[in-house]
Amino acid sequence: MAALTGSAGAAGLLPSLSVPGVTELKPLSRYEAMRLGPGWSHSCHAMLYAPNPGMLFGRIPLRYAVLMQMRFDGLLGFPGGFVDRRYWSLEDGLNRVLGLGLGCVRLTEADYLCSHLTEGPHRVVAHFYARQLTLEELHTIEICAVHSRDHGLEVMGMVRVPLYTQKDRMGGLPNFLGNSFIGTAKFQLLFALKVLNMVPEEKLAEAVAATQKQKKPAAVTANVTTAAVTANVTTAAVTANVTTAAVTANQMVAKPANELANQPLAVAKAEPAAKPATEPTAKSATEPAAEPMAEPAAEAMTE
Amino acid sequence: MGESRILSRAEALQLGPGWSHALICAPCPGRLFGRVPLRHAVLMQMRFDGRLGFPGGFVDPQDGSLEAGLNRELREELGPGAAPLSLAEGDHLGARCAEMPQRLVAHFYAKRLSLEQLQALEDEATKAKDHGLEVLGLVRVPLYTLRDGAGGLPTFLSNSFAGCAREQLLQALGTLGLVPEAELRRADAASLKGL
Repeated sequence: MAALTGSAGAAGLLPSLSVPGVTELKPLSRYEAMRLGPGWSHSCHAMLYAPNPGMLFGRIPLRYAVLMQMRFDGLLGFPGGFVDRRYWSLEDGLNRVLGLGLGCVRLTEADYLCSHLTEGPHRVVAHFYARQLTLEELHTIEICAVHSRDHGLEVMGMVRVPLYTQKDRMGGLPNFLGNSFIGTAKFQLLFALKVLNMVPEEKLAEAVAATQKQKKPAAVTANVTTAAVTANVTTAAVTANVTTAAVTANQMVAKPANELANQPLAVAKAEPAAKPATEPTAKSATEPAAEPMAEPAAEAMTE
Repeated sequence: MGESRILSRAEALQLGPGWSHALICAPCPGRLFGRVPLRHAVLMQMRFDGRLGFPGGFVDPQDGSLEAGLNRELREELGPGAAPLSLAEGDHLGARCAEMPQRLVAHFYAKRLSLEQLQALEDEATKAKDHGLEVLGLVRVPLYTLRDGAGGLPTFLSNSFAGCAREQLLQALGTLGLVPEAELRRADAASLKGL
């Protein structure tokens, strides 16, 4: 599928999600993203999907099977992780991470969809890929996933995303969006569904609006992300280009891309800032060693 | 369904037909990131309606018994791999009854397997009749709480749950001794605060 590219500084021409109730992330062209300086971390995630002719209860068209996963931290997300650009291209890095988990898919630049700056004080750009498979191929991935190295550890299970909305206006996509998502995943899901024309824009807006009435999903995910970030331990063994410079999201977004590329690297080694809410017992509340960011790196990525 | 008193199997049966669901678990010796004990693998599923729940469903009077109905539902949702499960009366953990907006009776069961048996079940489930339809995927429940006080069980509890599945999960984790009660209370409280 066509990547959503634009020339340097032409971020205004890139499509936006524009769904009320969903915080818009600042898009970057691939070109701009590649010119970001070494102070930036890059994450790559992929939406694997397949046309699905099936009907739920014999009457609700499924349209597509879209894969997400339940992560170790209790959040839904896409397969993928951080890519150390010193050693890997985005696609090679992504395939390494996917290979550890799923084994069966190789993504290429043709599958690249978009890049967005993430919220929060850390300089992370999130790249997103989408690959259409046959339903049989997707099903094979679900079967393989249970045997993967990550299963029962970083990944608690693969789930399909319900794209329909049931008559009660909550069942299906609205309830699904009411779950808790890591970082950029919910935004990327909605963005991909929109730009790939998998769900009409008004249906996406309705689904999001329906969940706003139930709880505040943005607050939940934002708080979880922030908590995970403050709980960071950045070790030398993990991606060394991950910085914790105290640059606010507003400052980052305000600067044009070429200025960001020239910005001197302001590195502050992260201290474990989190104070446990209660005294952790020996069995619980130990922090994961390899979690540099809001989204943890796949550990083997730094091998 | 909101908070409700836990009834015995016999008490609940008198209230009328209802649903039966099952928590399947296995001791799990592994450690996340080599450090965080997993303790147990506990199965839940993402349902067609976008909510997390337990395998099971409505029990027809034609099924003959609650357990027969439950075992039938488990085979449909988890595939032929569920046939050996054979949940029995002794696996009944409690029932709940909600009256509004209509009477709903929900029976809850729990069964412990070996980790190998649970893994075989996860494997077979992707080939079940209901896979991709009523069941969108099986997930394991993270039982630990990470040091930020949010990641793991608290965050998991902040997701969307069907019916009284969230209450049933908390009840079972406590009753079966899978998670210490104090930790469960903290996780529950943390998840409700919006973390």
